[in-house]
Amino acid sequence: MTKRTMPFLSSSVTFLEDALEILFKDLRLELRRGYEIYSIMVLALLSNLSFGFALGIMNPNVLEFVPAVLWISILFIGMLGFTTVFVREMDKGTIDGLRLAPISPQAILLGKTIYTFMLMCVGAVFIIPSSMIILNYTFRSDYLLVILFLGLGILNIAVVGSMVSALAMYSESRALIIPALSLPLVPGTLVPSILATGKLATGATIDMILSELQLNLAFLLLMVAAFWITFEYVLYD
Amino acid sequence: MSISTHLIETSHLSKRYGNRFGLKDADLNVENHEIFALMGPNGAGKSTLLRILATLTRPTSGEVKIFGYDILKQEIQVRRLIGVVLHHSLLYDELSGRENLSFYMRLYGFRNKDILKKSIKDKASLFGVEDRLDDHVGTLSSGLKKRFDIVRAIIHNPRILLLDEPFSSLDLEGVEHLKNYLNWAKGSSTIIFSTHNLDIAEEISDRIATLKDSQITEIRCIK
Repeated sequence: MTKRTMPFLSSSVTFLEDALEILFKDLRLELRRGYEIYSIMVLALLSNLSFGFALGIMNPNVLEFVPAVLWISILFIGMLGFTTVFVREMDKGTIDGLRLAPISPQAILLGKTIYTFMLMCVGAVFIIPSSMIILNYTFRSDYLLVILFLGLGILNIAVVGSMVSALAMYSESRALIIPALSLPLVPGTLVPSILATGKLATGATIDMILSELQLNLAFLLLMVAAFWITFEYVLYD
Repeated sequence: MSISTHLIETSHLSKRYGNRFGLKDADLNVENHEIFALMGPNGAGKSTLLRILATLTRPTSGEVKIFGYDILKQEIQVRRLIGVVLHHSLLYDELSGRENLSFYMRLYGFRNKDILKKSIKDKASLFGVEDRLDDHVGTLSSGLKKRFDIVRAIIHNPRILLLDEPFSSLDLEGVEHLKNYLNWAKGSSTIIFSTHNLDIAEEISDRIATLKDSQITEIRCIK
């Protein structure tokens, strides 16, 4: 039994270590450059102010708009982050360094996806509290549930975004390809996320958002499975 | 691993880019501890051959075995054995030389800090860049960057070195460092490199293959 499980455990640990190496490298690069972090902060503030002025700061119907406003802003923040996640490696030529490394291609995808997720979370940390102040609303549900649900939605967008960025890195018309490939995929998580966020703002419990939660989990499993199988061909062919 | 008489064997290796051949019907055998030079004009297929051997480009047809491993089916095993220098740098400009080398070593499974530190210092000193290890790579000249790129390629003690025009961008001191290293590394590694410089190829290689119009037209022994 031990003989059968230990190699699996050992390779799993190595896989995670490799993914973390990619993640830490990207985080270090981002902290040195700061391009994405700063642009995400500015975009978060800009979108909140724009929606605040457009909808009216004391609008009594604000809860009808907030979920959509929030997720559109998060999606655009994601676009800023995941557009560059593979494209910059391609432009600089460093993608060949990753391709030459004796590591699983999926470890590269996992590292890049966690990086995109963390970048989007940083954006969400700016955008959600500032929108609560500017648009004058609050989440009435359990905050842990709100954080978990928003995190799942953000993770779904990060997974799609990382793969789309990988698919687009070889193309010169990336500016077109990234949104075009995202368009049929993102609504699968965006729609349930918007619906559930609206419910969470009015005090919903986990039972009341169960269907949206299941949809988002199913979306995550489906995307991870599809991208897991195909990523090797994307990276090397 | 199957038994192989040659360290690197290619058989009818071809790569097509649309209607054009990047490499056509290349048969090549390279022995252990050999320094093998690839020469030929631009577009002759040298880089394509090296990229296929490096597992970066999949051939359209033909077979390649490195240490008995099929590069199409056992690419991770092959990648553990090879060190590669390409035309372009694989280093991150925003990171220092030390951080770049440490990152790549970790991807090869070296995670012991003492080993990392010692290996980076030792390898950097072979190319005279140990004093520049903490400089950001983006601030270095192209020649120093190239030296760091070579150090990156050898950092995990590869059994096979694939070098695409490694002497370009290097100053005289850099060229001497590389020639000395290749002569020393020959004892434990096999080296394939491309160059346009016939003098260097004849000085350090055991055999030279000439490529023209995507085909190997001649292989001659030097030593």
